[in-house]
Amino acid sequence: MLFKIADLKPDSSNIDLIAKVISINQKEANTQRGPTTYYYGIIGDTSGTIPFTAWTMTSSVRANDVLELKNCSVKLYNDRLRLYIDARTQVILRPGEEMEVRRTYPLFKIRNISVRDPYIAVEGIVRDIKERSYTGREKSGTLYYGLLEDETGNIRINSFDVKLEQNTGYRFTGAKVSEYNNRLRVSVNDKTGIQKIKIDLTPGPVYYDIHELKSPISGIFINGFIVNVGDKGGAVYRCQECRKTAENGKCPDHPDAPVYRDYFLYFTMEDGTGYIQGTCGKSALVSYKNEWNESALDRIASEDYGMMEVKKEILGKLINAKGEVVNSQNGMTLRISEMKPLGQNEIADLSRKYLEEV
Amino acid sequence: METRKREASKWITSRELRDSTIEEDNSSDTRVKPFIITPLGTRVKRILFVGTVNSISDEENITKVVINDFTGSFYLSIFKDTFPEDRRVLPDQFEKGERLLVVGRLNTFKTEDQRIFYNVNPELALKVEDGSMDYWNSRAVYIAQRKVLAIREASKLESADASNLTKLGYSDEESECALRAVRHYPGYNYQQFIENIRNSLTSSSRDQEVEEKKSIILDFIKNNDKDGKGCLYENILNSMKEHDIDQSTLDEALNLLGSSGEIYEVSLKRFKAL
Repeated sequence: MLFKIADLKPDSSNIDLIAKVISINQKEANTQRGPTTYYYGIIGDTSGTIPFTAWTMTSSVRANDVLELKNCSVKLYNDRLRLYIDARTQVILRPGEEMEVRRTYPLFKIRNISVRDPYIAVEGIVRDIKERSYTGREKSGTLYYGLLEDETGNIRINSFDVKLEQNTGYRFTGAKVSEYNNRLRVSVNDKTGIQKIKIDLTPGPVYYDIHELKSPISGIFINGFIVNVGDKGGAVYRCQECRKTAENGKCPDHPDAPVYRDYFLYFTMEDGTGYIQGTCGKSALVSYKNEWNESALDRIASEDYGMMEVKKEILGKLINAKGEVVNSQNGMTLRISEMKPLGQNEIADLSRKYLEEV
Repeated sequence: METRKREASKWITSRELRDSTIEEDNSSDTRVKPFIITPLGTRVKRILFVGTVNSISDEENITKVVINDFTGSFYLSIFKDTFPEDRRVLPDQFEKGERLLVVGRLNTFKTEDQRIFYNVNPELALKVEDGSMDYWNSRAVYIAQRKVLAIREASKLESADASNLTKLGYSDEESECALRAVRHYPGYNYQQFIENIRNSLTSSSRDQEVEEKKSIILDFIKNNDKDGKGCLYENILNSMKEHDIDQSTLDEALNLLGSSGEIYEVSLKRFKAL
C-alpha cells in the first residue's frame, strides 16, 4: 500500500513509498554474518521527512534521486520513527523525476545530536562567540563561531554571515550537523530559520554517567576512579593551528604553522556504569596538581618513560574530570581540560544524593 | 585488526556476589572463564570495590587477603609471581585496617553439592583515602537499588523485552540485568536484599564514626584524670561537645573502649584509662 511519510506509524511493515533522497551516507559494520556496509540518511516527500537505514541499496543512488520503495518497514529507534530497507525491499530509481519535499526538522537536545540526523532544530544559548573572515569556493564572508549550550552540554556552532549575539538564546531550524576532528558541530547560515528565544539555564556543571555518553558532546563532567594509565605518555609537539601531534616538529596538515610543547597522558576511568578512555594534556595535569608546571613536567617526561611519577600519583584516584567527548578509534574518548581529586565535601554531597535519589 | 573491547568492571557488593549461584553456560568455549550471573542480573567477570583490609596471610607462593565491604567479605588471592615488576598490586605493603581499591577478576570454586565460592585475582589493588570508600559504598547501593527497581518493573512485563524498560528510563545495562534476574532468580527476596544493604551501610558508617571518635575520648580520659579517681561522665560529655561528639556516640565509644579493655568504670559514671 502506498503511504505518505506523515502517515507512517511505528512497528508497521509492507510499506510502499515514493520519496526523494535528502542525504545518504554509508558505514561499515560487523554483524553476526561478518563485515557489511549499510546506508543511512534522510528521505522525504510532500508530507515530511524520515531517517532511514538501508541494509541493501543500489550503489548508484545519490542525494536528490527520487525512489520508489516497495515493502519497507518502520520502527521506533531512539524514540524516533525510522524507515528500514532490507533484502525484501524493492528499490526502483525514477530517473529525471522531481519532487517537492516538505522539510521537517526534529528538535534535539544537544546530548542527542548525531550525524545520523544531519538537519535538525536545536535550541540553546550562544557562548564565546568569535569571528573571522572566510573564503569559500563560491563566496567569502564572515564566520561567527563559538559554543551552543543547553542543559545537557554544549556543541561547537558555526554561523556563516549571520551574526550571533553573545549569551543569547536561539532556536535554529534546519541547522546542519557534521563531524570535524572527531567532534560534532552545527552550522547555520542565512537559509536556516534563526529565532531569538528566552532560555533559562540553571548554572552549574552538567554531570554524566559514562553509559549515557553515546555521541560527542562538550562541557561535561564525569566522576570516577582511574583504573589504568597508559604506558606511552610523555612530551609531544602540537600544531598551533589544529592541535594535532606534529611528528618531526611539523604538522602534516599545516607544515608552516608553529608548534608548541605539550604533555600527554591517557587513562581509563570507571564509574560503575561503564568505562571511558581519558586523555589529558598539560593544562589538565596542571589543574590536577599545581606543582606539575612546565618545568616539572619537562623533568618528569625526560626522566622516565611513560611519566611514571604522574602515573603513580593518579592511578587508583577518584577524580572529577571536565572535558569533551569525541569519537575515536577505540570508541568514545574524554578529552580532559580540567581534572581534580574529588574532595571530602563533594563526596559527602554525592553520597547523600545517591542514597536519596532512588 | 579488530580491537577487543575491554570488559568494564561491575561495582557489586560482597553480598550480591555471595548470593550468586549461576554460572553462564560456556560450553561453546570452555577455555574462557564463564560469566557469573548475580541475583540482580549483573553479568560479571571483573569487579571493582573499595573495602577495609581484615586479614593478610602469607603462604608459599600466594598471599591471601580478606577485604571487608559494608556487607561482608571479598577474598583475594595474589600469586607472588604474577606482578613482579608492576606496581599495581603490592601485598607486602598492605596493612590491616587500610582502605583498598581493588579491580580484579573473579575465580569460582564449586563444591560437590554445587555451591559456588568466589575469590578475586586482583589486577589493581591500591591504598585509597576513606572518601573513596564512602563514594564507592553509596554508589554501589545506588546502582543496586536502581537494578532492583528495574527488576520489579521487569517482573510485571508480559514479554521479556528490554526496550519496555528503557522506555521507563532504565539504562540498557539495568534493563538487561533486570531480565536476567527475573529469568534466573525467580524466588529471590529483593526487598530483604535492599533493606539489608541499606542497613549495613548505615551501621557501617556509624561504626566508622564511633571508631574515629574513640581516640579523642580515650585521650581526654587519660589527660583529665587529675586525682587518679577517673573522669566523670558529665565532664567527658561536656567536653566532647567541642569535638562534635553527641551523647549516643560517646556512649557507644565508651562501651567499645570498655570491651577492648582500654578503660574501665571505677565507680558509677566514672571512667579510668588502663
